[in-house]
Amino acid sequence: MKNWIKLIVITLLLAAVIHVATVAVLPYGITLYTLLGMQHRTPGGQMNMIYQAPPTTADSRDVVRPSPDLLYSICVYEVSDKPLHIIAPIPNDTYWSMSFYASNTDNFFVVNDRTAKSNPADILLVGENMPYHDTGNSEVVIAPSNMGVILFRILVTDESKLNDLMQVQEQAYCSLVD
Amino acid sequence: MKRISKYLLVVMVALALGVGSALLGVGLITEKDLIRNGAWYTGLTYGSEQAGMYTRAAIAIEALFALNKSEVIYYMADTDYAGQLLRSSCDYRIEGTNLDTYSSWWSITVYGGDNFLIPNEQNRYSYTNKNIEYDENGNFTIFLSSTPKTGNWLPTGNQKKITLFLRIYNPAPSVYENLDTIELPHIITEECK
Repeated sequence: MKNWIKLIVITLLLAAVIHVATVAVLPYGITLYTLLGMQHRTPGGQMNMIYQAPPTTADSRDVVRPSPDLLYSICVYEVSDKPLHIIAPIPNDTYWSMSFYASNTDNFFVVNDRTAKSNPADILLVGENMPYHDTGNSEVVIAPSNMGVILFRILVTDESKLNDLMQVQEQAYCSLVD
Repeated sequence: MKRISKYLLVVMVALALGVGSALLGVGLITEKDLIRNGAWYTGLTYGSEQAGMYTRAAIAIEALFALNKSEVIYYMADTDYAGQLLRSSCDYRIEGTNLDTYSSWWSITVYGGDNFLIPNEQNRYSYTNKNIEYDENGNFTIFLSSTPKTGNWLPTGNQKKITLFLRIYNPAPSVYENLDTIELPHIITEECK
């Protein structure tokens, strides 16, 4: 009888540990899985390079609940060794944003067409405690995790402007700084 | 041998209990923190660094890479005004007043049970305040149906469950200060097959 009670207690304790571990690991696991999928969209499956996604349709399956009204570009970043420089032109008369996500899904920084300090927007993303050269031209943002993703969003409310907005989208880039 | 199978059973049961209760807990605890406004609901911690571990897990499953509340307010609805689950076998009417006082940009999008856009010949998945047709009073009606409708029509295909997303970009402070009381579109069931 005592042995059965002991087994039940061990089972419940183990279940509690697994419960907490599952909840804690889920965001990282799903984010990592999604980032690796996005990374493979770039030539050679490189990180720190922008992928311009085509207009969103029912075939867009990288991220759940995509907005069909947005043009998305994606830069999967890895800043453990070098900072990342991001330049993105901001289109006129529509919503535009560049949002930075850590590996735990946190949206730790966002800049939009109203809050950008310059056009094109100019950001230097650096890892925590990483030395970097501040040119004064870029807004410096500290990444709370070495790996994550930057999403660029352009709102398309008029199909006739799609080509112009796609040209703006194509001019954005992200690259590591030596 | 008997002892090994006993411990194997303990691990298996603990795994099932732990993972099962985690997934259930993510849904239940996150639901407790939601703010409701009619059929619509939203959360203030989406994408936020203040989000707890259950909210983060829920975001990863259902709304990965959501923006924080100063950027976009996401309202979701998976039931009609009377609380009945939305599905393709029913036709719905979404009636709303002009939401431009809340933001310069807003959109209403329909998703299938897999959380992705519903395939349709028209490639029509959403309406924004820039392409929706208003009536003479500045109000709008969107028809949510698997069969074609005149006016603002969002096709629902063949889905057991559908979800609506109302995105309000760069919301006015009056929006996120009054999330449970601002006037939002009503979702009304017309008929079910």
